[in-house]
Amino acid sequence: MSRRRRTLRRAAMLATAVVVSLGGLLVSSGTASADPLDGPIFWKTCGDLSWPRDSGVVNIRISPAGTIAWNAFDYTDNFGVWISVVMVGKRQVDRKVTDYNPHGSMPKSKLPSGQLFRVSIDHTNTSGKKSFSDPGAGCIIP
Amino acid sequence: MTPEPGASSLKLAAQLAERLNEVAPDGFTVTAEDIAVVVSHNGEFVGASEAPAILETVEGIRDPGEAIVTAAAAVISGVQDFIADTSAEPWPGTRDQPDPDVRRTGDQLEMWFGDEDNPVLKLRALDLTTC
Repeated sequence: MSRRRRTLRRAAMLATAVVVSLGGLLVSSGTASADPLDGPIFWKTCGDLSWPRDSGVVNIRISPAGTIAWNAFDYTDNFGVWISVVMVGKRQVDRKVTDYNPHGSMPKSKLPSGQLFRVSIDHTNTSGKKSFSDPGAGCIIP
Repeated sequence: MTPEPGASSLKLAAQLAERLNEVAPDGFTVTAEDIAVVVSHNGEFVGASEAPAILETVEGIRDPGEAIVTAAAAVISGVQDFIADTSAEPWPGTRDQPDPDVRRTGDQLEMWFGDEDNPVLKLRALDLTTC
């Protein structure tokens, strides 16, 4: 592993540790579980959806069998460090770090109808430039 | 049995990594680094599932039993993707990518790929009392 890649990954893991610690603080201080996405975002029903931004895009698609697949791309640099978090309702159901653009899927059996499926991406490219996915990248599970 | 609140994301990562490393194809290693289950190929980082961190979320603390199931499912699915993405071949098996799945029975967490009745690959069961 290159030193740069290792450094980037360490930084990503450190960020994760901070987030996890912060989560613990919120719990122990009794803070209400306010979700920033409770705001006025109009959520569509899952289908063939994309959330493009200046530097990249998140895609979510649902198959006829009800499996939801997602991926993300950077228009210019798909390497670096990607941190992906997947939520179903207010439950985190996946979290991963990759050094290539991420993807994932979830079967219908794990997708309760009416809940919100969301993907949140944090990408640091090989030049160190950070980008974040659209906070509205999500859809209602049919 | 429901694991005690505070079931350890570190222990879960370690135990999942151990089981996945036992069945990883040649050239791949699966190790635990803190809360992450890390896949390497010929010593190079491929990807890391940090799904064990789900145990530390608000919902995970409220319902650790469900969180372990969710986290384990995400980890084995993520590791499967990392290996298949890197090798450009399905894993495990040689045909279509088999679906990963988990089921909790008492203190045991069963994990497999493919049909439950005829899995392509079954991981060593995880004893939830040790997480």
